[in-house]
Amino acid sequence: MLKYIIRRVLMLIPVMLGVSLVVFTLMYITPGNPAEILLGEEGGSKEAIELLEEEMGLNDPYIVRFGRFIWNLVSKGDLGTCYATRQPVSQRIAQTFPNTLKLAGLSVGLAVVIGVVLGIVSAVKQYSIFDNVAMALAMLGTSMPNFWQGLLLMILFSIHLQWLPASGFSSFKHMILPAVTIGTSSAAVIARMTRSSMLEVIRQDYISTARAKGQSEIVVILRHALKNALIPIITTVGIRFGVMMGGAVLTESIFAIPGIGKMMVDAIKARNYPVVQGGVLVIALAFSVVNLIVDILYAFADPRLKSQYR
Amino acid sequence: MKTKVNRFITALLVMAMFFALTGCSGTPADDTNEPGTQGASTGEEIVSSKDTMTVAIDREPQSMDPTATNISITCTIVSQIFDTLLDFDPDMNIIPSLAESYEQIDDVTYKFNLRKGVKFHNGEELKASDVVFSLKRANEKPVSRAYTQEIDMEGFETPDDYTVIIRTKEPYAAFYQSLCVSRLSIVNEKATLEAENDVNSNPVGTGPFKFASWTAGDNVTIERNDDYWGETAKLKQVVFRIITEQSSRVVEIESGGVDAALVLPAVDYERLEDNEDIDLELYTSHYVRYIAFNTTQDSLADKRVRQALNYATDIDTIRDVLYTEKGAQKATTPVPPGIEGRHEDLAQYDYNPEKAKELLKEAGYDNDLEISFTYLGNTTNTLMGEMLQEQWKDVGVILTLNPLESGALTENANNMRQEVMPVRSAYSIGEAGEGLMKLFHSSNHGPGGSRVNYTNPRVDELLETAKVTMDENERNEMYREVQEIVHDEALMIYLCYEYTSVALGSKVRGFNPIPTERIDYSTIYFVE
Repeated sequence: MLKYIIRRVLMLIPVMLGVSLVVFTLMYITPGNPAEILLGEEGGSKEAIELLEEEMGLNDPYIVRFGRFIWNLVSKGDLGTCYATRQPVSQRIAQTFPNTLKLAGLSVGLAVVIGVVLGIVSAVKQYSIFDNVAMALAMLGTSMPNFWQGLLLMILFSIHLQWLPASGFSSFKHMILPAVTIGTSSAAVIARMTRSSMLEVIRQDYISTARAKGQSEIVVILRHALKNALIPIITTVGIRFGVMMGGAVLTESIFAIPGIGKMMVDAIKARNYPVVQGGVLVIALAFSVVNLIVDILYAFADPRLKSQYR
Repeated sequence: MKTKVNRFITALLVMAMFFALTGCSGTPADDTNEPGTQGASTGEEIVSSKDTMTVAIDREPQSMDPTATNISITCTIVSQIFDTLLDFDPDMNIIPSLAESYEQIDDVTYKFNLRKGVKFHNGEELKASDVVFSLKRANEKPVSRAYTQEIDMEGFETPDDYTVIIRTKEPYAAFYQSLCVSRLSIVNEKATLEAENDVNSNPVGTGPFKFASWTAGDNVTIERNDDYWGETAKLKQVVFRIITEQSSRVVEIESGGVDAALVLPAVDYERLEDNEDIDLELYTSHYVRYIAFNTTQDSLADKRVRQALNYATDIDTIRDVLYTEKGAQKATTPVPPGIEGRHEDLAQYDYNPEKAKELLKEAGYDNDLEISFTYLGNTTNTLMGEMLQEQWKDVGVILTLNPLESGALTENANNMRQEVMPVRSAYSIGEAGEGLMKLFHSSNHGPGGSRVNYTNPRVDELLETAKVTMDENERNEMYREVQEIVHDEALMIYLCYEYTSVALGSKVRGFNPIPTERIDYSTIYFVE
């Protein structure tokens, strides 16, 4: 198992290199010049643009720029300097990524609690009123755009009831609305996945056996059924969490959360190459780590898989 | 259990939708706590002990380095931390700032007497050498150098620590105005030399506020400078919160989460005005919005086509729909009101599709003119494009929409590839020449920022002569002539002069904005 983990971690190195190369090349061939953008829609002068290009090191050939990026990263751990704020990219990521992690953790946690409970009950009481209503709500949850739901929550809880702050991310109170916004839509997906996975398992013979030997219904459901239905649920949750590592752009914008998603979108718009490259690297790394954790969790959910991890 | 939760949420959402749709401005829970103070702007008010102000701003500042600022919010923040030699008052008159007095010695020589005992935030005293250093430094930086180009970099003299002599390369009419822009703020030579790379994270100025912190994507915080040379600020701290989503800024000011919100959507003006807890300030600022015709494109090089498109556009409708009646003024010339040298007697082209058709026919087009509208792909611009499409169809012009994101748009425009494009231009020194030069002088095509890319030797000559003409009346006469030519040539469709909007909590006093969109926070305070 440990060997497997080490091997997976080592495999991250070529993956990261590949990601860097792809992102670097994509940014290189995308039209748009960061110097021109920084000078604004109103333009500057030719000399101003040239001066900025020089400052940003944009005059060097492709291979030199890519080499410099990799060399600075490997030798000094330096991701470069943000064109816009002139802060080190590592500092910008350090300011934004923790917020993204917190938001991901809270919202996925909320989604798991709501989604799994809802899914189990729906499966156990299949075709009941509860099941139908819950699944209809789940459909609503997945279909409702996050930014709209976020605004509605803000209008109610911040303007009319004045219970919660409308935006920002400095205290737990600030995190409730965004976490609920993202959490409910994820919960809907998880609920549907849990339900279908549970339904499959509940029809298996060993469930009848468990009931026949006199196990209480709650033990049958949680230990015998849920544990065997976990793999697809873990996969869904893992993917949700992994995607969240890239930030939730719309939710972050609505609630003015300094997260990595909004930072990336702004950076892409401004052709802020260093931030895009650094950000993608961190997101890719986080995504890979989440995948690894998901794989390890599989082994706990289904011990048969453990033997394959060599 | 989940259903209950979900039902509850659904119920709440339905309620929320109801409130939103009916535009109910509600009675917030704490309304009863403070009766009788609303709308009272008489002398009876008691100054509140509240001394922290939170301001919702619309975007990330570019930098804390004054030389790297060209968007209004960055200039505003930087101008709280730094001072310039001269400054504008809210009526755009030039007033002394770090220079206590100043005089013009000859056509190109100016003498500035610095205020004595002015301390930088690091404790150093302001010296003449700091002024020279700051201006030389600004001349090296890409964004600020546009404002130092007229200064003779070899011509500085510092007879003593409190006197600076500055020379311009040739006579320059708008010299005093150019010294007021935040890009030419005076920085501390020692601190800046010691840590050039840190100017951004630790700016040292002489302004009424000191820099405290900047968390990218979240906020910039400044604190009062108790040793300020002028009147010390009334607020102890100002927190600029970066809230890029405009509807979120509106929610924040409505919920009382912030004390001021900048750049608001025009559709919300009415609701905000009806709210007793909010004062909506709308004021003229030095911006003009227009639709630029790129005259280097074949079809648009023909004056008749440009005039036809002006006649084919029902601009009043477009303006009212996009910017609302409350939000913008009718525009008749590229120079916004309140700026010296503005031509007051021009009229906008009337909406006359018949005349447009005639002109197009004359120019050789018979329902077969195809033009593309290149724009930054946001809601307002898309709507504008669709309205133009509809209106121009009536005169037989086919308009294709070409939305781009900002990076591609700038590249496109700098390479003069666009045909028709909506633009917003600023007059940052409150003087007609600066903007007209940028928009219509032939040296400013493409990267220079002109989107009409117009070439006319007469216009070039007028602009160049006006720039070095010290006599105000003569100069303004030349600027008026330029505006007449430009109007006749129909280089653009004037959209509007948009008002700048700021929503303030009703307890905020001392708000004195400057038309360049700068706000002085040192005069602001709260009342009970």
